[in-house]
Amino acid sequence: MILLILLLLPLLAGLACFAIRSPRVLEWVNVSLAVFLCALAAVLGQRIIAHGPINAFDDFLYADALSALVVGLTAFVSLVSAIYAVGYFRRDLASHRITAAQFHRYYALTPLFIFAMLLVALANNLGVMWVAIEGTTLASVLLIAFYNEKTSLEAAWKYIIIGSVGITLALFGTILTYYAASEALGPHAGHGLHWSVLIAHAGQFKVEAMRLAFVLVLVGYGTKAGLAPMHTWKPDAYAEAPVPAAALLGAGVINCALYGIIRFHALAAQCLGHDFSGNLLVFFGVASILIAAPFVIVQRNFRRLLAYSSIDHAGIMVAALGFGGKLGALAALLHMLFHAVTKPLAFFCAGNVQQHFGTPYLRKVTGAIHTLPWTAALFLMVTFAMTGSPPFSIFQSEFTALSAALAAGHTWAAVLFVIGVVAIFAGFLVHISKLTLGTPRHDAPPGRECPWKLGAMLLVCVPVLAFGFVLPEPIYRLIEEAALLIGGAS
Amino acid sequence: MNPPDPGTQIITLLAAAMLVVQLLMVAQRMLLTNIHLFALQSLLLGLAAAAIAFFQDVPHLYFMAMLTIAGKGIALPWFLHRLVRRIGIEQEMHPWINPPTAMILCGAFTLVGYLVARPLVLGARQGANVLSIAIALVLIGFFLLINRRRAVTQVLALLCAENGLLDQLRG
Amino acid sequence: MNPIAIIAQTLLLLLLAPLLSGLIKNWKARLQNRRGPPVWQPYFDIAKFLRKDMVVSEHASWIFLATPYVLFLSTLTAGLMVPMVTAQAPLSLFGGVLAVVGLMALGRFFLALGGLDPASAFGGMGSSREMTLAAIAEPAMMLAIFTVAITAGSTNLSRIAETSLATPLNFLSPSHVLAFTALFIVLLAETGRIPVDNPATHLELTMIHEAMVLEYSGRYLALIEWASSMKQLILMTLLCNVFFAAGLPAQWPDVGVGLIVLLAKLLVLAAAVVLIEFTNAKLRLFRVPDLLSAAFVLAALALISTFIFT
Repeated sequence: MILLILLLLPLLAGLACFAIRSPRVLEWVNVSLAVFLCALAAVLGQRIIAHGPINAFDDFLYADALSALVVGLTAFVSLVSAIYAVGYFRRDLASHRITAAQFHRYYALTPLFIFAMLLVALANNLGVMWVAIEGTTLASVLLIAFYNEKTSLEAAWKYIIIGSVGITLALFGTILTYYAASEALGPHAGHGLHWSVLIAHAGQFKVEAMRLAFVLVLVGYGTKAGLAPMHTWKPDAYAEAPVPAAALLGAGVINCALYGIIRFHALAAQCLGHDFSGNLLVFFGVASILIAAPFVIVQRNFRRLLAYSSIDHAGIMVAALGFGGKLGALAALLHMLFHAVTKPLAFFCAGNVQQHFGTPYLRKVTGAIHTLPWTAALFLMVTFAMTGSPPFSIFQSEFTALSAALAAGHTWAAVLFVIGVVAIFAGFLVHISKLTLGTPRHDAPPGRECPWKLGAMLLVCVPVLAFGFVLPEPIYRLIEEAALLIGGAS
Repeated sequence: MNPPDPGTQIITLLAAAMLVVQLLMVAQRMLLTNIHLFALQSLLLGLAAAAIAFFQDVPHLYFMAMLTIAGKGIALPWFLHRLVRRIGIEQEMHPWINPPTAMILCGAFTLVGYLVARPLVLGARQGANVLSIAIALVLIGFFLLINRRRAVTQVLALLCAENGLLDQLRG
Repeated sequence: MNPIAIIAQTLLLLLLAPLLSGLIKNWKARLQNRRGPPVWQPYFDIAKFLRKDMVVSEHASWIFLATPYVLFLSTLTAGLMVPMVTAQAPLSLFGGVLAVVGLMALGRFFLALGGLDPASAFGGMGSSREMTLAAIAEPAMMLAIFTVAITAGSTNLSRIAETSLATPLNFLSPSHVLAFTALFIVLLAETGRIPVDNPATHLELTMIHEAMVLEYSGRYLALIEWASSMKQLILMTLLCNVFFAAGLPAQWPDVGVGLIVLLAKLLVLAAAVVLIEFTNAKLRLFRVPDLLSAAFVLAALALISTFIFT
């Protein structure tokens, strides 16, 4: 029942928002939707910890600890970006950057976008999951093209073309998985794409078909997650989308794509042993980290900077997953959690700076702390948090990933991992410290923090600061169980 | 050579014809011809679906065949045709890689398709050749996508890749 | 080696070839809403050319004079080795299909020399173009034919036709689809059809075949035209009878049936050629190698597929 409500709520809200005209009501509906989703996600998490996996509708929907984690993160990100969006779009509207119609479009599409993300996590059928991931693309492409500028249309085009290629490959992989499974399933063949059925029989799949299927799915969903070398859509999309949508993409969709990869990794690990999929994951993960590093260092646009950071983090999660063992799975999921709660803050700070100074270029913005003290201070803080310096939480997950790497004997991967992460840390620090603490430009407009935006940012600060020191027991239980689902398989 | 079973042979034949059409699409440069070839390919796809429906007795595939022919074989090409006429795109496409080189590359993709599918289909009685052709079609479709500069032609390439995928779906 | 068969097939080749050319020309005109020349026009042309005087350049050597005969005879011999109305070709020389390709290449070689010999600008240009295209078209043709030969286990055309007749479904495999397409493109190129060359004009700067034979007149021109229409007939027959052998009588007595079946198949193939000529524009000369290389890749793929496909 709770699964159904989780899905119906955003769907109905989205459809209702198409009919609603009043801007205040639209904002109100979106924020309260997100609040409800957070509450439901918390309940879902608790139930799963207490009673194990839940399913509904003849196994059509299925939620285990991993789903609950992704649902929770999606709900959290949608809450903070809904709050932030209020301040952000009011200002855009006031400065005539967008029209009332565009304003309406954002609020009507976002619930549908959230619906698609939740469906990814809750669908039991891998085919439906594929449809849902494709749905996130469709919903978000209009958000990327939001400003109707030449650059944003180009970004949206790039996104949909590269995304479609990826999604095609993923479908190919999904079909091949079914093909690999069809004989092993026997009487269950009618439910041949249900994950709960597949995982039970994964040991007897056709090895060759599963191998090909995993490669295709990894490339396919990896495109969506932004793994190198399929990452090229990301900088454009993240830089052109309105900031709340970029936050949803960068902290929400990325989890959905990784969720898909994790599911298939679990299947492949059972069928082929851990090494095949694990080594591929390590390869793509480390490659993403290493490719992101130089682009971070030479970056001139702070919105694109965040995109490369997101590529880097996707790489870290995938690599951690690939290192394997319970430790690796734990590191990957912890990192997913920490990244999702940290990243929105970075987007919001960047959005504030961009809206205030009217440019995303690093060289045009220096010394933001003199005009936007709160934003700049938080930006500096989140830079440390995001690049994995202690005491922030991401340091812990990266450290766990490293120990998993060394424990599994991936010494070279670990070395490259450290080099990449350190280079990204250095690049970020140089750019952001100049942006916040540099000599202020004399023509910088005087600033005023918007309460909505600041509220959203402070809300994100709570977990960013808290998780570094203490991880609430229920969340840890959830992650541990989810890690068992993946790591326990191998 | 295995005993020829007419159903399998005809389905494979249609798949091979799709591959030929796809390769011809790589080889030529005119935009409208490309759209026509795409229509032809979709038609073949529809026929193949119908052939499967007939030979393997899966009636709901007739529906899919009709949908494919109507949608991708007639409606979409017609729409693209009109679009091209309306926005007055230059007729000759300028791919990044010239057609002969592209053809050789696509030949290589086809072989990749064979080789990748080979371990999967050893011992499988049906859809064996179709699978390898489908992989080749998808690969060539992606190649076309990379090789083209304009939006319309990219969409066309994507649709071709999708045709390949559907081809695989039935295999 | 049945002398009656040889004579019959020679007559068939000689008589049917101009008809086929006339038919294609006539259909094409109809499609373009013109009345067009009558189907028999090529016969009248040949008859007229045979009666006319010849003008031979004073710079021309014996090669110029020998070319029409060599071309005519080599094409005719090649034609005798192709199964037309029965699966048994009247003549069966060493190498089978290789000999057919070789004889045609010999004819082409002399034709190119004949174009060069009188040292006229157009002739040389035509020869150079012909050889450039042939350099790509011939390997494509060889590869496509090898594909079929491998399936049949022999390069002997009669054997190939028999195998094709016995197991028609084997000849519907993917590799044969590829080979057929390749051979069809080669057919368009070899017979100077529209995407490659325009048979209807002497006036285009990009003409190929017509440029080579520009210096010929009278009896020689008649022989060359006749030979090139025979070449068209041979290639088309090869395509029909090798890939769609159905209906071909196995033995000599049933020629009647064989003739009707052959005519029907040729009509279909001619219609396809006409359709392509009608719907396509002539390619720029620099683009022609694109098309032929496509044929080459298709043929190469076809050959490789015969080994990979089960």
